[in-house]
Amino acid sequence: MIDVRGVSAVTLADGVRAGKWRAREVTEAYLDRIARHDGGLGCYLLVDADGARRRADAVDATQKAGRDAGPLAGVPLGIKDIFCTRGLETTCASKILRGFIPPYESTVTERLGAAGAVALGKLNMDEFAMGSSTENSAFQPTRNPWSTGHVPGGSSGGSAAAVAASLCAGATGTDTGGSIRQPASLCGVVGVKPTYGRVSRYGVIAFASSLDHPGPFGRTVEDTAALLEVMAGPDPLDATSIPQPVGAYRKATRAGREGLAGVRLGVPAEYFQAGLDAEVEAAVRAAIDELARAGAKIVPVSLPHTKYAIATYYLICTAEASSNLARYDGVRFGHRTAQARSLDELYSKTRGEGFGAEPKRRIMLGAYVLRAGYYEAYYGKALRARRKIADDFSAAFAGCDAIVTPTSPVPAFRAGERVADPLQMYLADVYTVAPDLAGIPALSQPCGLTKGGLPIGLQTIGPALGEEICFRVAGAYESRTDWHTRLPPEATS
Amino acid sequence: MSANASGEREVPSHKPIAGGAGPSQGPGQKYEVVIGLEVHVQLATRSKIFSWSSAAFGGEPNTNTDPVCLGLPGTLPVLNRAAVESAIRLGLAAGCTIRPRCRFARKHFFYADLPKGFQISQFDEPICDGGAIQFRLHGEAHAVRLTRIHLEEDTGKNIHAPAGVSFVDYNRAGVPLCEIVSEPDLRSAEEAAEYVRAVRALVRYLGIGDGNMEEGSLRCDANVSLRLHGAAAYGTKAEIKNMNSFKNVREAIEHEIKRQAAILDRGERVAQETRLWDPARGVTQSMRSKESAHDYRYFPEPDLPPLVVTEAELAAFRAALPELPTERFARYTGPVGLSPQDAGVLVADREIAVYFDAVVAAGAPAKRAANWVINEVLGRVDDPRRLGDADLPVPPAALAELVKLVEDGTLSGKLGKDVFGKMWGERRGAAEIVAVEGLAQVSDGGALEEICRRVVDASPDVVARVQGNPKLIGFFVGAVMKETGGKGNPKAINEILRRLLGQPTP
Amino acid sequence: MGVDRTQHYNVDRRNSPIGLENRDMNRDFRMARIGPEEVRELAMLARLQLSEDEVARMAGDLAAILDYVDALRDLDTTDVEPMTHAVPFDCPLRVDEVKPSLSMEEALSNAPRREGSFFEVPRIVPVAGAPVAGASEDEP
Repeated sequence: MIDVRGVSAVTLADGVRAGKWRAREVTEAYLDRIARHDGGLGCYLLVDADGARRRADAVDATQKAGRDAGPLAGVPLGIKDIFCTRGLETTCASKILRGFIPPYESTVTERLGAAGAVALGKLNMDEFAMGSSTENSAFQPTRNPWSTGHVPGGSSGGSAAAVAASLCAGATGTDTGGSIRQPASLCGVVGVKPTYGRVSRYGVIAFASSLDHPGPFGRTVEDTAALLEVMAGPDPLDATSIPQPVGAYRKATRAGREGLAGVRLGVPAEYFQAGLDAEVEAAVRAAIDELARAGAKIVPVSLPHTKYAIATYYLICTAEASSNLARYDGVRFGHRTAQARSLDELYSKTRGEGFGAEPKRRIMLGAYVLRAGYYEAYYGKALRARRKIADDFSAAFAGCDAIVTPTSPVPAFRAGERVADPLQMYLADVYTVAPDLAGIPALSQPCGLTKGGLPIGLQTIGPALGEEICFRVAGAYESRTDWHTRLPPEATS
Repeated sequence: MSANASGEREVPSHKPIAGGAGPSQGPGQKYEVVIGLEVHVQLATRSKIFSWSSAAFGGEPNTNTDPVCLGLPGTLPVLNRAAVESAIRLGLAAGCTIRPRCRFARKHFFYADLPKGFQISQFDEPICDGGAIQFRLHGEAHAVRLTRIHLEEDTGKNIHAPAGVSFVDYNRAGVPLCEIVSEPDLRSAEEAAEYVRAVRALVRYLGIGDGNMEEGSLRCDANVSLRLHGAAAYGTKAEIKNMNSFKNVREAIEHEIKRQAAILDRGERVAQETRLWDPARGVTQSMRSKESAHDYRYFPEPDLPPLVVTEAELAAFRAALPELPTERFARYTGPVGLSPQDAGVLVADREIAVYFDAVVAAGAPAKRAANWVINEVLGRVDDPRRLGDADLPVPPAALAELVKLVEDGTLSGKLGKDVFGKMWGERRGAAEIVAVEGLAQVSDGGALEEICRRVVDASPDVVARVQGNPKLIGFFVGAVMKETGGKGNPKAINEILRRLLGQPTP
Repeated sequence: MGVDRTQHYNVDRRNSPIGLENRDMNRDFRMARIGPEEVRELAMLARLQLSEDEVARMAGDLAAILDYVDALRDLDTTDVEPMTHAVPFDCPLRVDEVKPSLSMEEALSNAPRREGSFFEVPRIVPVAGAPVAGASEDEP
């Protein structure tokens, strides 16, 4: 059995294409690790071993026939259970979608499969992507591989933890308020939220339509670049997908290794104030110093509307979520209440039974802020605040090429610590929400460990369609440090 | 429909509708009727407005669906170009302002035929603003102002089965609709029905839809209220639904007017509510409504960026508009010289008008051509739009040929109709039929004279009585016709007989 | 429970980027701004059946969140265009052509209750305010 612990996706793909390994061997290695270690972590909701083996065998057949199986040939991936996979149960970690078998495939998973990747199964998440700890999953919690008493972050907690624990070589996630970057930070892996519309949302179960960003997780910056190059691109099935061609993200990553001469990095004062954990601050400042040594010029910038970002986010995302979740009614798919005497009772009981507390909360809040008479004061106001937050970034990028900040104000918190207080949970998103609102790209990579052994994340934010600069900066930092090589302790089942 | 001596169609004078709300009788005497209409036009695009499954009518239940129109998780709308083009053309034809930038919005409601729990529609930035629908009623021109026209998606269909269940079919979910909202400018049920007829004609002229009320591709809801004549404020309005024919529109509104008048006469208030027309019982029924007024919680559709229409695109659409019903009507009653009644019939469907124009272009005189189209051609097709078919038995040029043969006396009018029948049934040309069957009207003066003399000589007793009873000339005309096998030119025969019998020409 | 909540949020709250100054953690600020009646009304609007317990908790949770988001009132947004989309382009249009789609079986494959080729729901009584012609098009 190949030892795939800590092995990067790019290494695996290169190896399979060069004939060094068969895709099937690689897949078996990961399936074996899942069997041995996922019991203690709870990353996977569903492992599709048969499907994975079939796909791996197909890659091997292609390679054997002398054809190239694609840039991700044989790379085993975990798929956040928010992506619709044809013929494979997709639940969004909610009881209301238990048993839902999509008759169609998301564009992202379609493209990854076409590039030779092997989907191993569906990964745990906060229900309907609502949460920052994966404790809102209706089925199981996921544990942080670095310390199983701590949360992996959320909502893509299963994805981040699985990559950290080498239960897949890479994973897909979605980021609406920070749900890729925050768990990446808490689990010590790389996570990328691309520019809004860069990656198609077709087949991604909608939480907040104007804020949902599908994106990759990987062990290394180049891994995520490789995944993103395949996932990204215009899609005729998504009217908000960006028509411009995909950039050369792997090339940008490698360019970073040559240094950052001429690159100006903005550091916003608002991200280094009260509430930032001391160890996180120290690690991030050290990372910024490292970037300066790589040749970057550090400039102070200001993002004055940062303090309104969470309020703005929670008004917009709940309004959109309450709308997007209106379709879960027991008529065409999913859970249906056993007895209903009328249509309204069918809806109310089905939804009352099927949704967890957090979706219910957000549906209610969303319904409230969209009510006639309240619209302008809440939702309308939030849309204008959003513009001001986006303008902050545009103004800042006039004086710098990218912005660096901590990803999360705190390292992983303990399981159960914030679940009782929703507002407390929301505040975990403080450094991640603003790029979601503005639709600009942002990446998180590991930049340290606390004394307690918990990962710390560095965030690089770029201007719209500025993925390349993010990859260049991140590539530079990674080439000069070794945080990305650290491995969490092996979990036991 | 009878034809007078010159072959022009006589239209019976328009009878007043019994119980109609005219100012001289019924509720209209005391109250002014105020009606606004919302008409939903189903657009005849191939695929649905936001997805790629078929928008065709009918089909086995749930066979024309796709993940998007079913509202499956993770699906997204993508806007159909043809639906936008249809809406723009409709707006231009109605004289609306087309917004350079318009938006879609989500309208939230929980109902079984609404898969997403919201309908993608347009709220405060519709594609068309203003405009008007024109029609004629009792010889007068009316122009009803429009508030707006917007695009939206249709819902599925609920079918109520017995035993406590209902069934849902999503074939229709996602079919494109244009909603046309009028200002409350209509003042009678009759006007309302004519308005709907005019919308239908416009829709069919533009080729954007079938406008078929029975099939549901044209639907109409009415807002009806009454107020005292001269009052400034509007009365409370009731919304009337389920009128699925022009007749129903008129009858339902008439009933509603009477119902409201009776309430007001009693000094009570009209309730603001929705009422369903029940054609079987001829009454409107209040629908059970929710405790709270509907809050649709509109907000801009995040999955669709704003829709932009450029001046250049608008100019191109405008230039390509067909001649519309009102313009055509003006041309027919003006330079072409037709009567308003005839013009009205020809203008009712674009295919009829186009056919008529082609007949005239092929050389037939306009009034004659109008006669023939209205009396003979229209009666032979079940749907007037068939006149646009490529394989029509009598294409315009062929009809023109026939008309000219009657004009120049080769064929008698009566025989002309027989020939037309043969042309239609056997797909033959007029000249060919006339030649083969020797139907050419006998106008040859010499031959006719000879026959006339023979006939006159054969009945001297009638000749004697003709002096006192000039009508008896018909006896001879008939005899001559018989001799000529019906082909005699009646005019020539008459002239010759009168000369022979010493009768003055009338 | 022994966890010091202030552990991570130390020092000076005045300039906190997350607006903690709006929130006095020691005071119960759950004002009766949104009461159980309104919660039940919202729950009906959203078709969410809530237990009495849930109603009570929801009132508190919503009040707290609304209180927090009230901070936006301080922000001057006169003459600021609402940002509904994060993309700078306008609506793309799709060519009007029919593409192969779901078979009837596929369309119904996830139906919790079906009858032949239909989805089955409890008997519907037509209701005023149904959008478009939904209600008026119901076949009796």
